[in-house]
Amino acid sequence: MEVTLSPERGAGKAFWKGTIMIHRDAGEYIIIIIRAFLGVLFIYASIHKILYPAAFAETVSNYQILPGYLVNIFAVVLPWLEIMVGICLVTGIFLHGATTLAFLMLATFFVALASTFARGLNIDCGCFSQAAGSVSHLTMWWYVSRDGLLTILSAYLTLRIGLM
Amino acid sequence: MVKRGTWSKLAWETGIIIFLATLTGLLVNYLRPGALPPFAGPHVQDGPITISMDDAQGLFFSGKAVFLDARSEKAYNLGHIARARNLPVDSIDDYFDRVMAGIPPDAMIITYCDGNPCDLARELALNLMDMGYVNVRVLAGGWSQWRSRYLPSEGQVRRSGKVQ
Repeated sequence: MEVTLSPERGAGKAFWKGTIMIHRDAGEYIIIIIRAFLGVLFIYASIHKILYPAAFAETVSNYQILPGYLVNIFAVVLPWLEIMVGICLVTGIFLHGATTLAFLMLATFFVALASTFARGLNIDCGCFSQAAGSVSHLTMWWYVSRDGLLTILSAYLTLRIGLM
Repeated sequence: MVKRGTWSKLAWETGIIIFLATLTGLLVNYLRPGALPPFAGPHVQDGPITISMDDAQGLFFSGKAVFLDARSEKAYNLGHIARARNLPVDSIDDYFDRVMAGIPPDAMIITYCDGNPCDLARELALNLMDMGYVNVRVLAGGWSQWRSRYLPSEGQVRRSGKVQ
C-alpha cells in the first residue's frame, strides 16, 4: 500500500529524511512507530541514571558482572549512550548506528539480566529507576521477558534500517 | 541483502555515537559536584566496619545506637527497624540537617539497607565518616534479616515478601 503524505513538505531537509518522506507503505509506518517507541523509552530510561550516577553505579555493581574498576565508567557513560541512541531513533539521525546500538544494548541487558536470574540474584534491574534492594522471582521474570521483547523489536529495526 | 557501503556507514555512525556518549559522560561527571572516580567501583576496600545482627540487636535494646535507614523514603515507609531514622543516601543533602539533628559526632550510628546485594548502607556510612562521625557501623544482613528475626519494626510491613 502506498500512502502520500503532504509531498510539498516531504522533500525537505536531509536532517528529517528518515522521519518525513513522501511515499510510505504500511511497513514503514510500523518501523517509524517502533523507532519512536524505542527512542522515547531509551531517553526515559537514561534520565534517572544521568541524575543519580552513584545510585546507578550501585545497581551496576549489584549485577556482579563487571570488575570493580569498570563499574563507575560504565555507569557514567551508558546513560549518555542511551539518551543519544534515543534521540537518534526519534529524529532519524545516524539511524544505522542508532538501531545497531539499540539492539546491542538491549541484547547485552538481556544476557546480563538472564545471567543474574540464573545465578539466583534477585536484584532490582535498575532499568528505569534506581531502587536498591531485592525483588521477587516473578519480578525477575518480568524484567527478563520485557527486555527480551524489546530486543526482538530492536533486532527487527536493525534488520530493516541498520543493515539496509 | 546488505548494500555495499552499509557496513562502513554502520561502523562510522556507531563509532560517532559511542565517542560522543563517552565524551559527554566523562565531561558531565567531571564537572558535577561529587564526581565518581572513573576507574573505580562503589566497593571501597577500607570501608566502614560492619556490625553483626547479634551485636546490633544488643545495642538496639539498650538504646545505645541510632539506626539510619539508607534506602528511599518509599521503602522506609513500607517498613523499617523501630525508631530508625530515614536518611536516603541518594538525596542525603535534602534530609541531612533534619535527620541528623541532635546526634553527636561520637554517637554509635548503625546504617542499614536491604539484603546483601545492597551497598547503600556502606555508602551512607562512608559519607558520615567523611563528615566526622566516628562510630559508624554497617548492619550485616540489613532490613531483610532484621525482619526474619521478628525484631521490633515499624511501617506498613507486608506479611510476605521483601520490601522493594
